[in-house]
Amino acid sequence: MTDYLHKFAALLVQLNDTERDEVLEFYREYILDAQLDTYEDCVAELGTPKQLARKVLADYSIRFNENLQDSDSSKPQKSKAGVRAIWLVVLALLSTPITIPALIVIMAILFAVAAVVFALGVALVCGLFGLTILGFGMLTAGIGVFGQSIWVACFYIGTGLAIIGGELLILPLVVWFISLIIQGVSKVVQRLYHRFVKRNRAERGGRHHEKNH
Amino acid sequence: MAIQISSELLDGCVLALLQTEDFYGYALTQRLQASIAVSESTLYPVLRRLKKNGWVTTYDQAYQGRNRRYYQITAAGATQLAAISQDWTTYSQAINSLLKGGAPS
Repeated sequence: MTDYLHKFAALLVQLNDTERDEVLEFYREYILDAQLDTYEDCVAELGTPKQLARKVLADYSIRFNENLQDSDSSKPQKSKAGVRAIWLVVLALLSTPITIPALIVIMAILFAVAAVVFALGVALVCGLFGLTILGFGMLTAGIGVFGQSIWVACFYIGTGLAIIGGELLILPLVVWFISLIIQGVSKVVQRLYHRFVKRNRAERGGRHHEKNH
Repeated sequence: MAIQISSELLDGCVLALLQTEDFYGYALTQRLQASIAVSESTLYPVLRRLKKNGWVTTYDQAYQGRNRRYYQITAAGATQLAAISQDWTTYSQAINSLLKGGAPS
């Protein structure tokens, strides 16, 4: 039982002390009252520490993220929290036995969206990287031929500088665009989570306690 | 049971139980599970939400050398319970009449 709570507590590092203590106190009391003496008893009743922690964290993260969007926090913080929310929701979905086809569909959609976003990101980064190399290549070539033909050198150096300058101009736009995509995906994921998981949670894994009837 | 309970209804069920007496976590889960299928890990988020909304308060009571946290309904909670009950009555009547294939009342 202490093992179980230790493992559970270790998985709640993202909560602040007050919140963590409150969660732990609730489950410590619950375990004592339910007389779950062994680790196995706890798992049978509440799921593995990981499953329990994911459920608790997914619940917190979503509320946390909603609060973040209300306040006027900066973009990087937002998309960071967005990524975390997506991740936690995916983990929460994964930690539950998939009994409902809807969950499989959600996972497939999430996977497809993730693949598209990832592909876009890779393409963007590769494109920018290639342009940078081209720019610096032009600069080097320009400096290289400086001795032979000053006009050719000017052309190369000018083009190189123009490319790098252009990139620097576009960069904030690209970063803004990426964070926009992440936030959009995060919102969709949260909506899906609210729609499907929250309603099902009461049912899922709800063992009937026949002895109580 | 194939029909899933919504979080509003779950709030209502918990508030209704708390209106009869104060419960601690485990007893509340047991009492709830005697009537409907809810998982053991469901109740914490529910109680947290109820407390955050000011519908319940908590107090600790010593029990065998440790504390038990009891949950108590507030006046705001009672109001909320009345609202949920009202909604449910309307809704369940409509569903019942639909299920019987009757005309809209």
